[in-house]
Amino acid sequence: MKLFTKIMGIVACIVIVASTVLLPVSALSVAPYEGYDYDPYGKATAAPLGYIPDKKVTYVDMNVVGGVGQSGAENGLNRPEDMFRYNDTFFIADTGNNRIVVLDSELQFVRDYTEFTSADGSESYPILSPRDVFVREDTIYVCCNETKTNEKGENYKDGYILSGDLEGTLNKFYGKPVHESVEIKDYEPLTVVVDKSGYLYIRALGILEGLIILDKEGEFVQYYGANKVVMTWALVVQAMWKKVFGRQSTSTTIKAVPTEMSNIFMDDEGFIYTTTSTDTVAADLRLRKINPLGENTLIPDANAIISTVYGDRAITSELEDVYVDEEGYIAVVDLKMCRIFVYDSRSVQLTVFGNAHNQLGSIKHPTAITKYGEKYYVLDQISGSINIYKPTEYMKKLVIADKYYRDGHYVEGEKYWREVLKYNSNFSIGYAAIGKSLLEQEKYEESLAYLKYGQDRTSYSAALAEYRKQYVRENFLWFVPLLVACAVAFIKGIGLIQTALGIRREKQSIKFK
Amino acid sequence: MATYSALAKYSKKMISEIQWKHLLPKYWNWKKIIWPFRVLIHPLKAYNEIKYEKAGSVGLSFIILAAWFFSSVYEYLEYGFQFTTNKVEMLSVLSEFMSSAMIVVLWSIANWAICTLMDGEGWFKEIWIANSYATMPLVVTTIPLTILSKVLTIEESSWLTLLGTVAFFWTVLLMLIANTIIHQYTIKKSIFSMVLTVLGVFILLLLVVLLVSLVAQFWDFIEVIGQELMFRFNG
Repeated sequence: MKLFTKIMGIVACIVIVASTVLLPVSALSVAPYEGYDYDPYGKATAAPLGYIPDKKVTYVDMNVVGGVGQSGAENGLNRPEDMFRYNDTFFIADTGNNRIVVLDSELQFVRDYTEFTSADGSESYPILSPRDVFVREDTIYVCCNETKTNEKGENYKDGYILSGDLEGTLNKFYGKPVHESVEIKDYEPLTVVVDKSGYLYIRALGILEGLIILDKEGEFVQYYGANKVVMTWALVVQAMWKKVFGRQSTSTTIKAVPTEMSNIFMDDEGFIYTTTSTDTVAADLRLRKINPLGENTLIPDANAIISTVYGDRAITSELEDVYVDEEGYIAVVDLKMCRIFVYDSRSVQLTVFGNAHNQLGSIKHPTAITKYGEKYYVLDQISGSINIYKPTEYMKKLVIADKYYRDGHYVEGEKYWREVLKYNSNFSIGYAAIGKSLLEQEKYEESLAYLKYGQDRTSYSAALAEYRKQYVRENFLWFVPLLVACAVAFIKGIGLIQTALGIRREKQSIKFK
Repeated sequence: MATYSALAKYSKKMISEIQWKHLLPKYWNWKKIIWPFRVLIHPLKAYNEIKYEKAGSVGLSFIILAAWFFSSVYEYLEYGFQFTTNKVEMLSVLSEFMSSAMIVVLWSIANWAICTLMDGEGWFKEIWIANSYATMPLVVTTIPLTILSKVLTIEESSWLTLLGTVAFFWTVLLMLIANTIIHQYTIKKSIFSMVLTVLGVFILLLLVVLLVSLVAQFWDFIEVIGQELMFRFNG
């Protein structure tokens, strides 16, 4: 018997060791990160992988000509800050090498721009530490930054924005905005987007009033879309401590000014998306889609943005970049944990991918994201490379199902959602979608169960109203006798209680001995 | 050793004296058990009986408070899905207890402490029984309202709010009546003493928090000293 238990123990040990050693290896061969998303209570739950690494393209693979790599290698990219896709061409702001690099659809080097010269050759401006590149209607816009010294010997930043065509001919030079209401000491434009009518929306460092809007001719129009100042408890408490201890002694300084945005993006319809990286802004306002009045129109999904790493402590995300494709799928880059959140246009979180390690599919310092076809391209600043992620089968099915759901075709989408739920039984939106479909098909009882799983309270209430009606109609025959019986029992019961209490018909109170 | 054996003997005697068959329903005094409902129907008479005819029972008051506690747990777990975001995993029995039965405990202590100083005639036992019985409206309405919430839609939720509010104010009214009769106050003085009692409850809570943190810090202190001694003697 002892021998038998010993053998069993050894076998169990072997099984445990084998499972811990072998299983993760097979999982890691697909992606170095775990798949997860969040339940309606904001808790991370296991989910299949949505996007898996396709390949990593370094500047050596791109055959980049000219420039110096970050480690000093020749022909490289040096701390690229931004990437923009225009049709089948990729534009990379090669910040450290003071140039814009153009790649074709296979990510092969085509050409670079180091300066824009006007057609008659009279004006020429160099591209100095470009922070952002934007292309619309064959016109390139580049944010350039230059440090100058004034007559007193103080350094100040004097940025400018160049626009030129694809041949490298200068269209227009946009300098520091000049207007009676604008007072900027250091002008450092970081991001620029341009709308259909040629207005420039500029995000500049330290400009808290919002985005600067310049018209086609470079005249200042107005500020736009600043984050709201939110009066938080932290601010109130800090104000109180300041009263008590004086101004100097407060170690943490939370400012009561609008927080700077960390990036902006303009989608095809001309809506501007903004991200904010610090946690002074409420979690559901760190990603915004702003309308012409500067108000947020995105349905907030606060859970996901502030959310925790899978099975780990809560960490505030630092949102670095956002990309929105033609169908409205939003991809947000979190710099802190080097991961990418994908939402649909109703801010339903679909998946999370990416992490910070050294394997294929990991990113050291993601600065820009774009989508080409169905693949996501993420620019890694430190290695000067582009990581490509492709969707899994699960993600493809999810996208189809989600499209039906967004368009309100619940019944048609039901079978796709059932397939998605086979992959991921934690996906609560799927249950809500099936519940809505069943509600449309008047299968109320089933619908109630699914809507409960999907945490959709409004639809649950609607289904309940219908189910109640149906139930009473079907059971009307014995409903009436039951009601009568209840009424009789109630009246009798009251009478019994009154008798027991001694308050029936006699007025004086009972006595206890 | 002798004390222990004496204690054992005493407790044995106590246990043998309990007439277990009285726990059977046929020995129950139904009149007494349903008597608390009289507080709902004839509050003035009922409280006079509690005060002058010893009609209340401490055992029943505990049963009422337990019923309130369990019905509030039931409410937390089973309230209509469309109205709440409650989850079984997030249920805290302690916080449910603090927000139901514990209120009566704190209230009774504070009320006794304050009304003794304000020429109140109530004893602690009377205050305790009267205030426990005053929670009867909440005990009676919580479970029916929870069942009702399962069949109402979000648009009809105002019914739940209405009935819940009625039950709450009914309880407050009963407490006012109880306070007036138990202490033989005028209404004006009764209301004033109740306001003071609310303050007293907060002071009690403050004291409890202070005591807990003090004990915790004292315990930390002892622990640190123990650690230091260990370091010293271990080298």
